[in-house]
Amino acid sequence: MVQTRFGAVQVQITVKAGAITDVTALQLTDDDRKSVQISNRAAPLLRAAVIKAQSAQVQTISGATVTSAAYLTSLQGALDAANL
Amino acid sequence: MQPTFRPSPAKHQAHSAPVCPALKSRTFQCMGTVISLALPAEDASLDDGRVLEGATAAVERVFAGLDAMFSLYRPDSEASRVARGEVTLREASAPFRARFADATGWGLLTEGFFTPERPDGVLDLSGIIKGYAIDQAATALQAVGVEDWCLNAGGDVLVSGSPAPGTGSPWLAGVVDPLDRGALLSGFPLGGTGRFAALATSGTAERGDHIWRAGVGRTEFRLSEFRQASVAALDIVTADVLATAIVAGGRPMLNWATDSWDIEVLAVLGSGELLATPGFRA
Repeated sequence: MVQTRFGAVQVQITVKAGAITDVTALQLTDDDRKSVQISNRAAPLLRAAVIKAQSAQVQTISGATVTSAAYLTSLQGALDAANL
Repeated sequence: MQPTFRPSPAKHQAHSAPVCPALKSRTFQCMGTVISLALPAEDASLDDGRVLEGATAAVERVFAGLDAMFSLYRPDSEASRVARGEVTLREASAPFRARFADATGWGLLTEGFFTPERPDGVLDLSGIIKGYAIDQAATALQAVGVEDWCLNAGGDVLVSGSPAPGTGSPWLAGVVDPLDRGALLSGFPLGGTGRFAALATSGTAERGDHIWRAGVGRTEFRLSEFRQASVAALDIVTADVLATAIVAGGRPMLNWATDSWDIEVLAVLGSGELLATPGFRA
Protein backbone atom coordinates (compact mmCIF):
# COMPACT_ATOMS: atom_id res chain seq x y z
CA MET A 1 0.00 0.00 0.00
CA VAL A 2 1.29 3.44 -0.91
CA GLN A 3 -0.13 6.62 0.59
CA THR A 4 -0.83 9.32 -1.97
CA ARG A 5 -2.45 12.69 -1.47
CA PHE A 6 -5.65 11.15 -2.86
CA GLY A 7 -5.65 8.27 -0.40
CA ALA A 8 -4.17 4.77 -0.10
CA VAL A 9 -3.36 2.95 -3.33
CA GLN A 10 -2.26 -0.68 -3.67
CA VAL A 11 0.60 -1.22 -6.13
CA GLN A 12 2.19 -4.31 -7.65
CA ILE A 13 5.90 -4.22 -8.41
CA THR A 14 7.77 -6.49 -10.80
CA VAL A 15 11.35 -7.26 -9.78
CA LYS A 16 13.92 -8.61 -12.24
CA ALA A 17 17.52 -9.29 -11.21
CA GLY A 18 17.10 -7.19 -8.10
CA ALA A 19 15.72 -4.14 -9.92
CA ILE A 20 12.15 -2.90 -10.09
CA THR A 21 11.11 -3.12 -13.74
CA ASP A 22 7.42 -2.30 -13.45
CA VAL A 23 4.93 -0.75 -11.05
CA THR A 24 1.20 -1.22 -11.53
CA ALA A 25 -1.56 0.38 -9.49
CA LEU A 26 -3.97 -2.38 -8.49
CA GLN A 27 -6.57 -0.36 -6.68
CA LEU A 28 -8.27 2.96 -7.20
CA THR A 29 -7.67 5.55 -4.56
CA ASP A 30 -10.63 6.32 -2.33
CA ASP A 31 -11.11 9.60 -4.19
CA ASP A 32 -11.10 7.84 -7.58
CA ARG A 33 -13.63 5.37 -6.27
CA LYS A 34 -15.77 8.22 -5.00
CA SER A 35 -15.79 9.96 -8.37
CA VAL A 36 -16.75 6.70 -10.11
CA GLN A 37 -19.60 6.30 -7.64
CA ILE A 38 -20.86 9.85 -8.04
CA SER A 39 -20.80 9.65 -11.84
CA ASN A 40 -22.88 6.46 -11.68
CA ARG A 41 -25.55 7.96 -9.45
CA ALA A 42 -29.08 8.37 -10.70
CA ALA A 43 -29.93 11.98 -11.52
CA PRO A 44 -33.18 13.68 -12.57
CA LEU A 45 -33.83 13.20 -16.27
CA LEU A 46 -36.51 14.47 -18.61
CA ARG A 47 -38.70 11.80 -20.17
CA ALA A 48 -37.48 12.88 -23.60
CA ALA A 49 -33.86 12.21 -22.58
CA VAL A 50 -34.07 8.48 -21.74
CA ILE A 51 -33.32 5.77 -24.31
CA LYS A 52 -36.49 5.55 -26.39
CA ALA A 53 -38.05 2.36 -27.66
CA GLN A 54 -41.17 1.76 -29.72
CA SER A 55 -43.29 -1.32 -29.07
CA ALA A 56 -42.54 -2.54 -32.58
CA GLN A 57 -38.77 -2.43 -31.94
CA VAL A 58 -38.53 -4.36 -28.67
CA GLN A 59 -38.29 -8.13 -28.20
CA THR A 60 -39.43 -8.21 -24.57
CA ILE A 61 -41.04 -6.02 -21.91
CA SER A 62 -39.91 -5.29 -18.37
CA GLY A 63 -42.46 -4.01 -15.90
CA ALA A 64 -43.85 -4.54 -12.42
CA THR A 65 -44.91 -8.17 -12.03
CA VAL A 66 -47.87 -8.91 -14.24
CA THR A 67 -50.56 -11.22 -12.83
CA SER A 68 -51.75 -14.05 -15.07
CA ALA A 69 -55.04 -12.19 -15.60
CA ALA A 70 -53.41 -8.86 -16.47
CA TYR A 71 -50.95 -10.58 -18.82
CA LEU A 72 -53.64 -11.08 -21.48
CA THR A 73 -53.95 -7.34 -22.06
CA SER A 74 -50.29 -6.50 -21.39
CA LEU A 75 -47.65 -5.43 -23.90
CA GLN A 76 -45.74 -8.68 -23.27
CA GLY A 77 -48.92 -10.64 -23.96
CA ALA A 78 -49.26 -8.87 -27.30
CA LEU A 79 -45.62 -9.57 -28.18
CA ASP A 80 -45.95 -13.27 -27.36
CA ALA A 81 -49.16 -13.53 -29.36
CA ALA A 82 -47.38 -12.05 -32.36
CA ASN A 83 -44.53 -14.58 -32.03
CA LEU A 84 -46.61 -17.74 -31.66
CA MET B 1 -22.06 15.40 -20.42
CA GLN B 2 -20.89 13.90 -17.18
CA PRO B 3 -17.73 11.81 -17.30
CA THR B 4 -18.42 8.13 -17.06
CA PHE B 5 -15.92 5.41 -16.25
CA ARG B 6 -17.95 2.62 -17.77
CA PRO B 7 -18.77 1.75 -21.35
CA SER B 8 -22.35 2.52 -22.23
CA PRO B 9 -23.65 0.08 -24.84
CA ALA B 10 -27.03 1.78 -24.59
CA LYS B 11 -25.76 4.83 -26.45
CA HIS B 12 -24.60 2.87 -29.45
CA GLN B 13 -27.85 0.95 -29.66
CA ALA B 14 -29.91 4.12 -29.53
CA HIS B 15 -28.26 5.46 -32.66
CA SER B 16 -28.19 2.33 -34.77
CA ALA B 17 -31.10 1.30 -36.96
CA PRO B 18 -33.73 -0.76 -35.15
CA VAL B 19 -33.38 -4.49 -35.68
CA CYS B 20 -36.58 -6.52 -35.72
CA PRO B 21 -35.55 -10.15 -36.07
CA ALA B 22 -38.25 -12.82 -36.30
CA LEU B 23 -38.83 -14.63 -33.01
CA LYS B 24 -40.85 -17.61 -31.84
CA SER B 25 -42.10 -17.73 -28.28
CA ARG B 26 -43.89 -20.09 -25.89
CA THR B 27 -45.55 -19.26 -22.59
CA PHE B 28 -46.71 -21.06 -19.48
CA GLN B 29 -48.17 -20.02 -16.14
CA CYS B 30 -46.35 -20.40 -12.84
CA MET B 31 -45.82 -18.46 -9.59
CA GLY B 32 -48.97 -16.42 -10.25
CA THR B 33 -47.65 -14.95 -13.48
CA VAL B 34 -46.83 -15.82 -17.08
CA ILE B 35 -43.37 -16.91 -18.17
CA SER B 36 -42.39 -16.55 -21.81
CA LEU B 37 -39.39 -17.92 -23.65
CA ALA B 38 -38.45 -16.43 -27.02
CA LEU B 39 -35.93 -17.86 -29.49
CA PRO B 40 -34.78 -16.56 -32.87
CA ALA B 41 -37.29 -18.04 -35.34
CA GLU B 42 -34.61 -19.90 -37.29
CA ASP B 43 -33.38 -21.66 -34.11
CA ALA B 44 -36.87 -22.28 -32.76
CA SER B 45 -38.06 -24.05 -35.89
CA LEU B 46 -35.05 -26.42 -35.97
CA ASP B 47 -35.98 -30.10 -35.80
CA ASP B 48 -39.59 -29.34 -36.74
CA GLY B 49 -40.05 -26.89 -33.85
CA ARG B 50 -38.98 -29.40 -31.23
CA VAL B 51 -36.08 -27.15 -30.11
CA LEU B 52 -38.48 -24.49 -28.84
CA GLU B 53 -40.83 -27.05 -27.27
CA GLY B 54 -37.92 -28.82 -25.55
CA ALA B 55 -36.40 -25.58 -24.28
CA THR B 56 -39.77 -24.41 -22.92
CA ALA B 57 -40.30 -27.76 -21.17
CA ALA B 58 -36.86 -27.49 -19.54
CA VAL B 59 -37.67 -24.00 -18.24
CA GLU B 60 -41.11 -25.08 -17.03
CA ARG B 61 -39.64 -27.98 -15.05
CA VAL B 62 -37.34 -25.56 -13.20
CA PHE B 63 -40.18 -23.17 -12.34
CA ALA B 64 -42.64 -25.92 -11.37
CA GLY B 65 -40.07 -27.58 -9.08
CA LEU B 66 -39.30 -24.36 -7.22
CA ASP B 67 -42.97 -23.36 -7.02
CA ALA B 68 -43.83 -26.75 -5.47
CA MET B 69 -41.24 -26.14 -2.75
CA PHE B 70 -41.60 -22.40 -2.08
CA SER B 71 -45.21 -21.39 -2.83
CA LEU B 72 -47.24 -20.21 0.15
CA TYR B 73 -50.35 -20.74 -2.00
CA ARG B 74 -49.77 -24.50 -1.87
CA PRO B 75 -50.67 -25.98 1.53
CA ASP B 76 -48.40 -28.97 0.86
CA SER B 77 -45.26 -26.94 -0.02
CA GLU B 78 -42.24 -26.94 2.28
CA ALA B 79 -42.67 -23.15 2.62
CA SER B 80 -46.24 -23.66 3.91
CA ARG B 81 -45.12 -26.33 6.36
CA VAL B 82 -42.43 -23.96 7.68
CA ALA B 83 -44.96 -21.11 7.86
CA ARG B 84 -47.34 -23.32 9.90
CA GLY B 85 -44.51 -24.27 12.26
CA GLU B 86 -44.69 -27.97 11.34
CA VAL B 87 -41.07 -27.85 10.16
CA THR B 88 -38.36 -25.67 11.67
CA LEU B 89 -35.69 -24.05 9.51
CA ARG B 90 -33.15 -26.45 11.02
CA GLU B 91 -35.24 -29.37 9.81
CA ALA B 92 -35.89 -27.85 6.39
CA SER B 93 -34.28 -29.31 3.25
CA ALA B 94 -30.86 -28.12 2.11
CA PRO B 95 -32.27 -26.25 -0.95
CA PHE B 96 -34.82 -24.49 1.26
CA ARG B 97 -32.16 -23.42 3.75
CA ALA B 98 -29.88 -22.28 0.91
CA ARG B 99 -32.54 -19.91 -0.45
CA PHE B 100 -33.24 -18.69 3.09
CA ALA B 101 -29.52 -17.94 3.42
CA ASP B 102 -29.55 -16.08 0.07
CA ALA B 103 -32.52 -13.96 1.11
CA THR B 104 -31.05 -13.23 4.54
CA GLY B 105 -27.76 -12.21 2.90
CA TRP B 106 -29.58 -9.82 0.57
CA GLY B 107 -31.45 -8.45 3.59
CA LEU B 108 -28.11 -7.57 5.19
CA LEU B 109 -26.66 -6.11 1.97
CA THR B 110 -29.71 -3.87 1.48
CA GLU B 111 -29.97 -2.80 5.13
CA GLY B 112 -33.28 -4.59 5.45
CA PHE B 113 -35.00 -2.93 2.49
CA PHE B 114 -35.17 -6.35 0.90
CA THR B 115 -36.62 -8.72 3.45
CA PRO B 116 -37.86 -12.30 3.34
CA GLU B 117 -40.31 -11.58 6.14
CA ARG B 118 -43.92 -10.58 5.65
CA PRO B 119 -45.48 -7.93 7.90
CA ASP B 120 -47.24 -10.74 9.79
CA GLY B 121 -43.86 -12.34 10.51
CA VAL B 122 -44.27 -15.24 8.08
CA LEU B 123 -41.14 -16.23 6.18
CA ASP B 124 -41.83 -15.53 2.49
CA LEU B 125 -39.01 -16.38 0.07
CA SER B 126 -41.07 -15.62 -3.05
CA GLY B 127 -39.19 -12.30 -3.42
CA ILE B 128 -36.04 -14.20 -4.30
CA ILE B 129 -37.45 -17.40 -5.82
CA LYS B 130 -38.58 -15.97 -9.15
CA GLY B 131 -35.13 -14.52 -9.82
CA TYR B 132 -33.51 -17.76 -8.70
CA ALA B 133 -35.85 -19.73 -10.98
CA ILE B 134 -34.86 -17.56 -13.97
CA ASP B 135 -31.20 -18.07 -13.07
CA GLN B 136 -31.63 -21.85 -12.86
CA ALA B 137 -33.62 -21.86 -16.10
CA ALA B 138 -30.57 -20.32 -17.80
CA THR B 139 -28.53 -23.34 -16.73
CA ALA B 140 -31.26 -25.66 -18.03
CA LEU B 141 -31.29 -23.86 -21.40
CA GLN B 142 -27.53 -24.20 -21.63
CA ALA B 143 -27.92 -27.92 -20.94
CA VAL B 144 -30.39 -28.39 -23.82
CA GLY B 145 -27.96 -26.58 -26.11
CA VAL B 146 -29.84 -23.35 -26.80
CA GLU B 147 -27.53 -20.32 -26.99
CA ASP B 148 -29.70 -17.39 -28.07
CA TRP B 149 -32.82 -16.83 -25.99
CA CYS B 150 -34.86 -14.31 -24.02
CA LEU B 151 -36.68 -15.39 -20.88
CA ASN B 152 -39.33 -13.13 -19.35
CA ALA B 153 -41.00 -14.05 -16.05
CA GLY B 154 -43.74 -11.57 -15.24
CA GLY B 155 -41.65 -8.59 -16.39
CA ASP B 156 -38.23 -9.73 -15.14
CA VAL B 157 -35.94 -10.46 -18.07
CA LEU B 158 -32.77 -12.49 -18.62
CA VAL B 159 -31.24 -13.00 -22.06
CA SER B 160 -28.41 -14.90 -23.70
CA GLY B 161 -26.76 -14.17 -27.02
CA SER B 162 -28.66 -12.22 -29.64
CA PRO B 163 -32.09 -12.15 -31.33
CA ALA B 164 -30.15 -12.28 -34.60
CA PRO B 165 -27.64 -15.10 -33.93
CA GLY B 166 -24.06 -14.37 -34.82
CA THR B 167 -24.54 -10.61 -35.23
CA GLY B 168 -23.74 -9.58 -31.66
CA SER B 169 -26.73 -7.24 -31.72
CA PRO B 170 -28.48 -7.05 -28.35
CA TRP B 171 -32.02 -7.89 -27.35
CA LEU B 172 -33.94 -4.67 -26.81
CA ALA B 173 -36.14 -4.70 -23.72
CA GLY B 174 -38.89 -2.13 -23.32
CA VAL B 175 -39.65 -0.65 -19.90
CA VAL B 176 -43.35 -0.16 -19.18
CA ASP B 177 -44.52 3.36 -18.37
CA PRO B 178 -46.21 3.03 -14.97
CA LEU B 179 -48.40 6.05 -15.77
CA ASP B 180 -49.67 4.42 -18.99
CA ARG B 181 -49.15 0.68 -18.92
CA GLY B 182 -49.90 0.37 -22.62
CA ALA B 183 -46.86 2.51 -23.49
CA LEU B 184 -43.11 2.20 -23.13
CA LEU B 185 -41.16 4.61 -20.99
CA SER B 186 -37.76 3.51 -22.21
CA GLY B 187 -35.73 0.71 -23.72
CA PHE B 188 -32.56 -1.03 -22.68
CA PRO B 189 -30.21 -3.32 -24.66
CA LEU B 190 -29.43 -6.69 -23.08
CA GLY B 191 -26.96 -9.37 -24.14
CA GLY B 192 -25.29 -9.22 -27.54
CA THR B 193 -21.94 -7.52 -27.12
CA GLY B 194 -23.25 -5.36 -24.25
CA ARG B 195 -22.39 -5.85 -20.60
CA PHE B 196 -25.81 -6.45 -18.99
CA ALA B 197 -27.92 -9.61 -19.40
CA ALA B 198 -30.68 -8.97 -16.86
CA LEU B 199 -33.36 -6.33 -16.36
CA ALA B 200 -35.90 -6.38 -13.55
CA THR B 201 -38.62 -3.90 -12.73
CA SER B 202 -40.41 -3.50 -9.42
CA GLY B 203 -43.34 -1.26 -8.78
CA THR B 204 -46.38 -0.51 -6.74
CA ALA B 205 -48.83 -0.33 -9.65
CA GLU B 206 -49.43 -3.88 -10.80
CA ARG B 207 -50.06 -5.82 -7.60
CA GLY B 208 -50.64 -3.00 -5.17
CA ASP B 209 -48.18 -2.36 -2.39
CA HIS B 210 -46.59 -5.79 -2.32
CA ILE B 211 -43.16 -4.61 -1.25
CA TRP B 212 -42.38 -4.91 2.43
CA ARG B 213 -40.34 -2.21 4.05
CA ALA B 214 -38.40 -2.88 7.21
CA GLY B 215 -39.62 -0.73 10.10
CA VAL B 216 -38.58 -0.57 13.72
CA GLY B 217 -39.22 -3.91 15.37
CA ARG B 218 -41.16 -5.49 12.53
CA THR B 219 -41.78 -5.21 8.83
CA GLU B 220 -44.65 -2.96 7.82
CA PHE B 221 -46.32 -1.32 4.85
CA ARG B 222 -45.04 2.10 3.85
CA LEU B 223 -45.88 4.19 0.85
CA SER B 224 -42.88 4.29 -1.42
CA GLU B 225 -41.60 7.52 -2.98
CA PHE B 226 -40.93 5.48 -6.13
CA ARG B 227 -43.72 4.22 -8.29
CA GLN B 228 -41.35 1.97 -10.22
CA ALA B 229 -37.67 1.05 -10.39
CA SER B 230 -35.90 -0.84 -13.19
CA VAL B 231 -32.44 -2.30 -12.60
CA ALA B 232 -30.11 -3.69 -15.28
CA ALA B 233 -27.43 -6.00 -13.88
CA LEU B 234 -25.10 -8.81 -14.89
CA ASP B 235 -27.41 -11.38 -13.26
CA ILE B 236 -31.15 -11.54 -12.67
CA VAL B 237 -31.14 -12.11 -8.90
CA THR B 238 -29.15 -8.90 -8.32
CA ALA B 239 -31.43 -6.97 -10.71
CA ASP B 240 -34.60 -8.31 -9.09
CA VAL B 241 -33.55 -7.89 -5.45
CA LEU B 242 -32.18 -4.36 -5.97
CA ALA B 243 -35.26 -3.22 -7.92
CA THR B 244 -37.40 -4.38 -4.99
CA ALA B 245 -35.08 -2.79 -2.41
CA ILE B 246 -35.00 0.57 -4.25
CA VAL B 247 -38.81 0.82 -4.38
CA ALA B 248 -38.91 -0.06 -0.66
CA GLY B 249 -35.99 2.12 0.42
CA GLY B 250 -36.32 5.23 -1.76
CA ARG B 251 -33.42 7.50 -2.61
CA PRO B 252 -30.97 6.40 0.11
CA MET B 253 -31.27 2.80 -1.14
CA LEU B 254 -31.03 3.96 -4.77
CA ASN B 255 -27.72 5.72 -4.06
CA TRP B 256 -26.42 2.82 -1.99
CA ALA B 257 -27.27 0.43 -4.84
CA THR B 258 -25.60 2.47 -7.60
CA ASP B 259 -22.54 3.08 -5.41
CA SER B 260 -22.14 -0.58 -4.50
CA TRP B 261 -23.17 -2.68 -7.51
CA ASP B 262 -22.41 -2.61 -11.23
CA ILE B 263 -25.93 -1.67 -12.32
CA GLU B 264 -27.97 0.86 -14.29
CA VAL B 265 -31.20 2.17 -12.79
CA LEU B 266 -34.27 3.97 -14.10
CA ALA B 267 -36.63 5.02 -11.32
CA VAL B 268 -40.03 6.70 -11.62
CA LEU B 269 -41.05 8.95 -8.75
CA GLY B 270 -44.63 9.17 -7.49
CA SER B 271 -44.95 12.44 -9.45
CA GLY B 272 -43.93 10.66 -12.66
CA GLU B 273 -40.51 12.33 -12.77
CA LEU B 274 -37.49 10.18 -13.59
CA LEU B 275 -34.17 9.47 -11.95
CA ALA B 276 -31.67 7.64 -14.15
CA THR B 277 -28.05 6.48 -14.18
CA PRO B 278 -25.95 7.36 -17.27
CA GLY B 279 -26.68 4.03 -19.02
CA PHE B 280 -30.36 4.90 -19.41
CA ARG B 281 -29.64 8.25 -21.07
CA ALA B 282 -30.22 8.39 -24.82
